[in-house]
Amino acid sequence: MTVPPVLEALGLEKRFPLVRSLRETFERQPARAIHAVDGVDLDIAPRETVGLIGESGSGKTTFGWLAARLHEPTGGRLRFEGEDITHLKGEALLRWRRNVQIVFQDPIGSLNPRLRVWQIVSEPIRAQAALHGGVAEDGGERSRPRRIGRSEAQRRVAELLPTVGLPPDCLYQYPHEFSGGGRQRLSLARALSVNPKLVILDEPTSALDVAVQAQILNRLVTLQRERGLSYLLITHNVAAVRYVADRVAVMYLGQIVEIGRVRDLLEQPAHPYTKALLAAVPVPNPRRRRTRYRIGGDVPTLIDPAPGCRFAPRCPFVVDHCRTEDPPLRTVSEFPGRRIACHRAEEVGSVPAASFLTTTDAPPGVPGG
Amino acid sequence: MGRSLFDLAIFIGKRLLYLIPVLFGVVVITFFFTHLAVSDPCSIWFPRSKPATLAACRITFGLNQPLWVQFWDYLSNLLSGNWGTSPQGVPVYSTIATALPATVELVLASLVLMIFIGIPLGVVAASAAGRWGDHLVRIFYLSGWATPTYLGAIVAAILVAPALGLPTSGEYNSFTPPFPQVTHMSVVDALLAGNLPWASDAMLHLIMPATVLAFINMGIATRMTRSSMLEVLPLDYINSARMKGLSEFVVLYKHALRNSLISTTTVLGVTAGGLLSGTIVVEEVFAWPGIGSYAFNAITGYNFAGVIAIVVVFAIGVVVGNLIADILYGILDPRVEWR
Repeated sequence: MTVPPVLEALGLEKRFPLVRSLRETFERQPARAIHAVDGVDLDIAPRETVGLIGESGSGKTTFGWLAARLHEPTGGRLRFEGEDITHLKGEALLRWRRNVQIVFQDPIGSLNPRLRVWQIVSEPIRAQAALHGGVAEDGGERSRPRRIGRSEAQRRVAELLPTVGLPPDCLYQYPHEFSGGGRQRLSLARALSVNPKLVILDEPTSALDVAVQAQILNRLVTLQRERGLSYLLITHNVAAVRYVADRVAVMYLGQIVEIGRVRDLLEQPAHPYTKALLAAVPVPNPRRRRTRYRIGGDVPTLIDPAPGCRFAPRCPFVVDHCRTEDPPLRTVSEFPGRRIACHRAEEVGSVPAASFLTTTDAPPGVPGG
Repeated sequence: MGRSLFDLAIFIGKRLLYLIPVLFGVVVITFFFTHLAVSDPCSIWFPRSKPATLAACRITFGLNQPLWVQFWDYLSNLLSGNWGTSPQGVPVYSTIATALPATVELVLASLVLMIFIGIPLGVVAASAAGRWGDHLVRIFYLSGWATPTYLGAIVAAILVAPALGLPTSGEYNSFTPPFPQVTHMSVVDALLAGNLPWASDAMLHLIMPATVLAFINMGIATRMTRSSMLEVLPLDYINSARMKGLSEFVVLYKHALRNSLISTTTVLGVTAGGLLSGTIVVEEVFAWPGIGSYAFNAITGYNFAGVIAIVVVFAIGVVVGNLIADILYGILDPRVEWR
């Protein structure tokens, strides 16, 4: 029997209904909705890191929140270690929460400014212990709810802080006394305090400077090895994905357009959108010609999108078929170990990006532009 | 400057020093306004009196002196602790000493209602923003806000109180025997006298006037709580609190509300200070022997010394209300230093 994935999304969907105006209500127009996540299939294996990349507004953060059950899915299924958790509610949901934790993007907004370090990091432990005894220090589970006292909480926090690279004597400090990197380490310590199986990293390094980004990424890799964690790394930092992730999924307008092993996908993107996205990543080489590749057209709206491929309005390879039928995420024999949502993957998969993207010479002196 | 008790003491001391120029200004303005408004107070205090009586009255109250001499006399008396007397010879200080605590008790009672009803209503409104709960709360606090005090007080006294069987007049039942008033706060004094029936009776008498004051002034607390909750709720530490497995109640009241209370505290501090002077109508309607009733009588009776003293007390109330709000800031927010 194979090990079930830690997390498995099947056609997962989140629609945010738009409020109808009075006129629309009277005219009985259908209610419209923003299709933030529109039928996503994704699984994450134990000890695996899956990168999720895409532009702002592609639905990658919404997917992360769905996976953590911060949003209620409006369709599809979500399984955790084989068990259906799509509509888990009440105390069962609160108990389940210790399995999945999130590290948020904003190192300032994600820490309660009124609480001290030991309170911030120990609160998940205490909340879970109050629900079902939580996780014992030897890694085993307790089943009887119990209260964790102040001294036990502080001791466990002091033990946890060095694993994220913080000194154990900062228990009584407040978040505003830390640097951005320090705060993100605190977020990480808080997430790890309940020994989760999956940590969702929502742009964990994008608010930090480059040197600190590297430290945090290294720390994440070490922690994964030590604790057997799975990561869902949501980012638009392709370099971070290349460094940390095993597999990578590319999202566009609420759907996954391509998913595969990191090296294969980043080096030989098959979907036209992936090609364009990766061509936009600046290369830190001053000798390289300063060229910018662009796809024509604007990002279409997420409100009740038209049928067919989401990328069709901007795709240089579009044919009539693309505008009427949704391309399924399918395996393509030319690209083993990969799934691609493109009707013409066989034909266009190997076309290099530079040959079809519009070239605009960047004005001199604008780095990377 | 920092956050130690010593810093707090210096902070309070400084703020109390600011009181001196404020109070001096208040005394100057009210003194000259009252004395310039009425040319011959004696003929109003004692109408249809003989000219000789009026002349004697003017000498007694120093009204035959030039205005600046009268002001100087008043000020030096004030500084030596003599707050003047009413035309009938009742010392102003002793009246204030009994009336002010009664009003403070009333204001504190309505403040408790505003805190324990108004703030949770704001939390409910914010967590149901744009939905029915939000609209119902808005209708409730707007109807309080829109009610003129005289109307609200009279409707409460005539319609609501009889329906609930609550008393509408004074601090105690008329058959309560006189007993030593230590603090002049009705409930506290009854408790100090060790008589629980008197204390519960005093509480019942407190309910209607305190509720009217709270109902009318609560809207601002609810609204401030709602809007600052709406600023805090989208922040990621609220989501991370949910991720911990905390119930929504704990998330809302421990994590979100505590971070939203700053602006509500300011508003409540200012409201409570202002409420001292806002009780005039309510105290008149409910025969509450507080400073509002006294203000009403002092104004209608041309009791200048009383009016000045009351305005000074109101000014102190506003300043102290603000000061308490500023002290609470530092307690609520570890990033705030008292300076």
